[in-house]
Amino acid sequence: MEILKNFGVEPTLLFGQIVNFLVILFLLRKFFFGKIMGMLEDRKKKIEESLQNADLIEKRLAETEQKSAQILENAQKQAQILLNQAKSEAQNIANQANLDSRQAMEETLKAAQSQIEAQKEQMQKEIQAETLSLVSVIVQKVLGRTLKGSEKQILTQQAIGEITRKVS
Amino acid sequence: MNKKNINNIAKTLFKKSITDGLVDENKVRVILKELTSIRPVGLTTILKTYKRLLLEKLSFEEVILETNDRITLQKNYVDEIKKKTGAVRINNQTNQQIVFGAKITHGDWIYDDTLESKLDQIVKA
Repeated sequence: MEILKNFGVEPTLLFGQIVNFLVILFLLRKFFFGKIMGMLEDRKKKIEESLQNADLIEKRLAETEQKSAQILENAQKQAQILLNQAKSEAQNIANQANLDSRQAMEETLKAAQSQIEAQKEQMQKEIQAETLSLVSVIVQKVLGRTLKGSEKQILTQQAIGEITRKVS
Repeated sequence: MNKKNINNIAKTLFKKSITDGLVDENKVRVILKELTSIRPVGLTTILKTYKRLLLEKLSFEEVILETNDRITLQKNYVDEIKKKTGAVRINNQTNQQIVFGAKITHGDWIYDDTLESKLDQIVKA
């Protein structure tokens, strides 16, 4: 007690202050503390939710980026495959076209050759026929001039004999 | 008169013009005389058909022998040709186109054994 006196502490005032403090504490607790705590709690929740959302967004963003990268990679792969297929197809078409054109050329060449051969053969036949006709005319002229009358008579009699045998 | 009747008349007249398988000149003369005096319908057509039939028959009665120059035919050939063809006469004609050989025409049949025909056969072969 002596010590309290020495420090200037008045028990009555201290008691009063304690009572005031308790009253104020009661009032605060009764009317303000709950709301403040509620607000703090709400804010804390919102902050936590915001943080969670941010994490979620970040996670989704990462996933989206990953998916985008995956899609892009797949698209590139698909594009590459399509490009390769197109190149291969184009090469095949070009090869086929070359083959077809070569075959057509060979066929045309064969047809032309056979046509030339046929024409050549026809010309040979015509020349042969012309030559034979010419020879025939020459033979007739030559024999007509060189054969004597008596020889012609003999040949004619032989021909009549031949015809007589043939007549049915 | 229709064509069939005209042909029948011409054929009948033609048959009446034959004696022993040969065309009888006297019969033909009589038929023509009577025909022209009667003057039936279609006389021109009857005469044309009659003429055609007579010419056909005469062409088979005669053998035309074509040679380069007129020749004397051996009797055995003449007999054999007449026997085989049934012709009654051989008419020897000259054809300057023939070098040598002979060509016999009997009706539709032609037997050609001239140089020209032989050469022609060689050319066509």
